Amino acid sequence: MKALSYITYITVLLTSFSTFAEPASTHSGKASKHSALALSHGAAGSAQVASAVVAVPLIIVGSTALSAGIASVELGEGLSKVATSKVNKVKKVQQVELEITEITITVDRSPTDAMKTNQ
Amino acid sequence: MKKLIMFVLLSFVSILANAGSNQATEAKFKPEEVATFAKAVEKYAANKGARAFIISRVGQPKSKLPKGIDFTHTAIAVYSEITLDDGKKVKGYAIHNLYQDAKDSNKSSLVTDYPVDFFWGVHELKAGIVIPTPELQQKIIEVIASAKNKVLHNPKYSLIANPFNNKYQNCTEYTLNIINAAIYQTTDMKQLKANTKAYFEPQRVHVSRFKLSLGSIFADGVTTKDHKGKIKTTSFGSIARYLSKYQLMSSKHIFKA
Repeated sequence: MKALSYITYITVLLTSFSTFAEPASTHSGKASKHSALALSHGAAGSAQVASAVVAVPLIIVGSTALSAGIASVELGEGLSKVATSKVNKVKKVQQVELEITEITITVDRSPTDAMKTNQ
Repeated sequence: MKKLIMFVLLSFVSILANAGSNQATEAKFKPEEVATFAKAVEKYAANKGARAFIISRVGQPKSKLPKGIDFTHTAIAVYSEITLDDGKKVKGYAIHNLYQDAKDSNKSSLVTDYPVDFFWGVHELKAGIVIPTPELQQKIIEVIASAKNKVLHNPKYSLIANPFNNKYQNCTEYTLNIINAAIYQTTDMKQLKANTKAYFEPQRVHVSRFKLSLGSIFADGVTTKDHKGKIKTTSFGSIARYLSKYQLMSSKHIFKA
């Protein structure tokens, strides 16, 4: 009976450990993250925070602009074949600095939160 | 008996310290610290002209990580046009992840998030960055832009998934699958696993089989069923070594706040 208690004790403890590593989130968690970011940015008076709706990969579409030191990129959607054929022609791609927005982007808010905002 | 309990508990802690493919919730740093760090990582990669790169984070103290494993979650960041909720279009990195499910630890989902989301719950403001060669970057982007990455996902999750077969998968193996699909221009899993076995050297997990077997019994998201012999899995470091060995890496950098 004592052994059974120990085993039960261990099992309960170990089961509780199974999610301690990096707790997973729910969508409501994302909403609070957005709020925390917005508050911190507001307090600092710095760059804004925004939720993303969609992200489309940008692909290289030619070597001419790249060699001129300017990144030439185009939306990746539906351009895979075009991109492949172009990439094959690129002998040496020079390193170019890419434009990055100053806005802090986060995943979109929960449906509940989005509805509250829209009301 | 008490000693046995302590042993089992300590064993378990070390097993699970490697876990990290979760969508993080509670930030350990101030929101502005995470936002500043995340933006700095983006700008570093953008300054290097990286259109696609491998990105890793640290979700646990180093003391809890098995020898040879420095990061707890790995994904692929892709330079993208991001449409915001107000309709505005901006440029930045979107991160393509495999995350362990919150409700079922034996399952995973594909989630796209952004640098501040990625680093939200980290233990340390530290990022592992591997920038592949421009040619490989382009092919990785094509895999993701054409949604072929979804074919490479196996939702059966194991923290210590064996990269040589497709019985289970973790975040890093999924990342390796995308890289190999880009290299070999195929999504045929048998072909990809054959090539992985031939050329990729995985990371040995320095935890005894006994401890891992206990993990298999007691914890969701950990199994040794897909392994024979020594336990080996995919890690940020092993991916970096793989790309470097075959001249497919432009640079590697450990970025710290």
